Amino acid sequence: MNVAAVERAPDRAGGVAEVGRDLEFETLFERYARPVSYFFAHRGFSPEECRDLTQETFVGVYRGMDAFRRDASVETWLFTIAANVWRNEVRSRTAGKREGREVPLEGLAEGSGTLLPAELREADDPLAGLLEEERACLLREALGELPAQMRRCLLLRLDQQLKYREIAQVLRVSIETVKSQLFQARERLRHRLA
Amino acid sequence: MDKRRGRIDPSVRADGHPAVEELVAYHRDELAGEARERLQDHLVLCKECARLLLDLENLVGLEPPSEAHRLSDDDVEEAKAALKARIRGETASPARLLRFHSSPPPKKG
Repeated sequence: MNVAAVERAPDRAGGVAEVGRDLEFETLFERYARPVSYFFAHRGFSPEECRDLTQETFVGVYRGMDAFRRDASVETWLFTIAANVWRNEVRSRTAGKREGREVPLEGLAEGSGTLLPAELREADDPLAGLLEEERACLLREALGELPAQMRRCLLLRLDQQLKYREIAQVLRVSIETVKSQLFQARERLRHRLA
Repeated sequence: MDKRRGRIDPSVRADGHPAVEELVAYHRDELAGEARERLQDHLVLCKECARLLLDLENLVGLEPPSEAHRLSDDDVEEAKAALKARIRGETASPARLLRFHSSPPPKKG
């Protein structure tokens, strides 16, 4: 494997034509090195680690160019490689601190009181006493009674504190749908817990 | 129609998270039915996977979390040189190859 081979690689990988028929490997790197590096940066890695992991990702890109699917976008393909590099790195580390963690539903109402956004924590709101165990149980029951999509919207909002736009992206629905579902969820919970 | 559509048992990993490829399939609207529902339920409870999906949606627009992470044009050029050197010299020491800023590309031959 040599540099000349690297420079010829795009000609052998027809799928890369998605961003330009004569796209070169170097161009791919120049275009996507930053977002890939920032992808790792957002997961708590140091700048040096990000550069190492970015390099690892693009080695994977180089090796996979021939197999790149024509119907996939370059970004999606790059993301798949980067995310797998990240997961492999996490797996190889022992009990490393990660940004994300699984949050069981059972723990929903047992947190620090930050589970509800401001609109649901008004002083005269019946949900204001969420931290009381009895109400927490009621809330869990009420959540369980919500339609699935409504419950998902609410949990993403309350538990992960995502923005409307982010909830829409996660659930593959429109922002208007998210707003509507959250409004209805709030009304149902108000009624249920009043 | 994609083969994944309606599949009940996607490639959930041993650690309980869906495979990256499964998230990508969801992003591409290639999951439906129970597989889609189950993945959505996982995303609601798993901040890690939800964030992964959001980064997939917005990869090109990602900004560095700090200035220390921001790559300059010179950084990108140096990283590119190191990458090419690594691909060119697979037999070289990994430790050396990974040090973008302190090691020049190994000379050919």
